[in-house]
Amino acid sequence: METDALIVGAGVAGLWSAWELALHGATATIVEAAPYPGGHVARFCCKATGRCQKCGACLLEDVLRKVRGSDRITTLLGSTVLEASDTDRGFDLTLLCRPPRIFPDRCDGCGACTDVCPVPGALVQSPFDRRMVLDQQRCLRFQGGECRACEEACTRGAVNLDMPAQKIPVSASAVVLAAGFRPFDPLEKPRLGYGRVPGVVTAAELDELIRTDKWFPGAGASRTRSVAFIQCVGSRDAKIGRNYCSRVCCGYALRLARLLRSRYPDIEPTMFYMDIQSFERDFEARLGEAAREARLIRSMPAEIRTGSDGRPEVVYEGMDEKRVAEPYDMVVLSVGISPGQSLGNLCSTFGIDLNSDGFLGPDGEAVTTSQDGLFVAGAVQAPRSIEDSVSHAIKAAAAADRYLRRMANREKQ
Amino acid sequence: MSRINLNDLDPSFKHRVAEQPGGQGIKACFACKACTAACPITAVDARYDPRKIIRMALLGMTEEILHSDFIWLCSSCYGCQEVCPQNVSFTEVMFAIKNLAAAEACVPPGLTGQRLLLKAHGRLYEISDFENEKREKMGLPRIKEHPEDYDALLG
Ligand SMILES: Cc1cc2nc3c(=O)[nH]c(=O)nc-3n(C[C@H](O)[C@H](O)[C@H](O)COP(=O)(O)OP(=O)(O)OC[C@H]3O[C@@H](n4cnc5c(N)ncnc54)[C@H](O)[C@@H]3O)c2cc1C
Ligand code: SF4
Ligand code: SF4
Repeated sequence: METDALIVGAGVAGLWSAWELALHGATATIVEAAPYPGGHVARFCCKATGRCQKCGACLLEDVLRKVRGSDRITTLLGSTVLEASDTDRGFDLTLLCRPPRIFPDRCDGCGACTDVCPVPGALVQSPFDRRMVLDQQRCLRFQGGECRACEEACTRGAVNLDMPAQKIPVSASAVVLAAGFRPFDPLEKPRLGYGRVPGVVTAAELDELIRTDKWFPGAGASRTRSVAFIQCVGSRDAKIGRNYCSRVCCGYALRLARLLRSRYPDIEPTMFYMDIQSFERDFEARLGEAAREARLIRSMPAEIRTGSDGRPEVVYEGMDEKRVAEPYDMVVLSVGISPGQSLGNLCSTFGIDLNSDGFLGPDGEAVTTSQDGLFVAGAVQAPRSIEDSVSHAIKAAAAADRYLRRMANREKQ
Repeated sequence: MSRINLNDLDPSFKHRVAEQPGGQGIKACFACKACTAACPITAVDARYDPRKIIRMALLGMTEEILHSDFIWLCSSCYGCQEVCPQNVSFTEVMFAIKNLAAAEACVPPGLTGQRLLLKAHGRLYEISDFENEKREKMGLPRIKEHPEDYDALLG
């Protein structure tokens, strides 16, 4: 198979680079490890409160529609790059393509498979419709196990675990790495109680629950009213080697707080922060509105523990210089953007290095790397919002397009 | 709270702290307050506030810090260091500040007294015959003081 540009990752950045390259007349092949496209944004909810809050999540739907309608773009789901080598014409690559194990036209999303699957998260509902998809990086059968529970449980014959994975050789003139990030794992900060104190969740989890209509405040005495947001979890933290601002969490926490309040006006949000950082237009206005609805406390908690009534308790130094242990119905950790899991592999496959914050490629805003014809786009290179990932991706696509033209001219001569 | 006169501030103080062993972290502070929230001393005596002491040092309130009695309240529990996201190592910063205070003879009389006790008896309480007779009655061995070691250490 031949393609002008191979794009690793079908998040907003990868999809947008492919679309821009196709606009310029190039062909693009997107390699996506997950069984569905969209990356993290596919699991975020729209945060409109009646008025658009400009969270950017809908930029994904937009670009997905464009990519699906383009005959210059091929998307390979469940696929990764196994090997890559430089040639004088670009890159020779070997892809590992795993066929979808669940036929979308047979699955009706009944969930019988999930009920029997022993691995949490191996069978998930596609973010775009009600059908199930299998994550082959988690499924036991693809880690050398023997499990067939889902195949046996499905009454519609939609699961087929036997189709073999294929190795496909591809030659590409340019490669764009858009492999995204990993949300910070709060188990690295045990004092914040995640996984130990009931009622402590990450913002990513809350976002997905809202998207799938699974979050409700409940009723009666156990109704969720007080919600604490803890900022900078896994950001601006030299102790764990993440001494950078993730750039999105202040914005998304304020939006989530407003969204909850607009749906359930008795919810009282509190935000614990060290500095509110803004990188968006109109942020001052958003902050002003939020400050009227939420308590903003400039104090980082020392600890989150289980209170005597079973609710999470936030221990912090209050504004009036008194130690406070305050119970909340829910504590939301505003987890930051950490370098993606597969970066080590990508570095060795493509012969490039991590930057000073542990992301891929050069520092700063650059889209080029130390390798000719190899580009980076989006949150794979530095913490970025959706909008910033899209502009970075457009810049990467423009650079890749220039490179493709230079190569084509050289060949003609 | 009293007013701070900018002309009275001593901008070199933070550098002097940072030059002491363990003091270099002071300039990285974000003023996030996590240390204060973790400090067991702040909980019982609000005059001792790690974040505030750092702010005072960075501002250059040399006199107010070195002549205070609160800098001696630190229990060296390292709780602040545990929670600090900026590796300020505040317990170490406190040792640096106390060393500067000692160098300027700003040690409170109580502490000087304790030093003399250590030098003379090798412990903060003098063990007299009274204690030892009581111990003997209870079947416990007598305690013998070893002030020599401390004398060598304290010079
Ligand atoms: C909790 C949370 C909330 C957020 N909320 C907002 C918000 O409200 N507004 C906003 O603007 N931004 C928000 N962000 C930031 C937003 O998620 C990012 O800007 C965006 O996802 C970046 O897109 P991306 O395409 O670069 O990366 P990703 O979304 O991470 O996509 C990368 C894709 O690459 C795939 N991939 C990874 N490695 C490989 C590999 N080796 N081979 C093949 N495929 C691979 C992944 O499966 C994934 O599909 C939030 C972030 C977090 C953590
Ligand atoms: S965006 Fe806000 S919460 Fe996120 S790292 Fe930056 S300052 Fe901290
Ligand atoms: S925890 Fe660290 S960064 Fe935060 S106020 Fe204390 S010393 Fe400064």
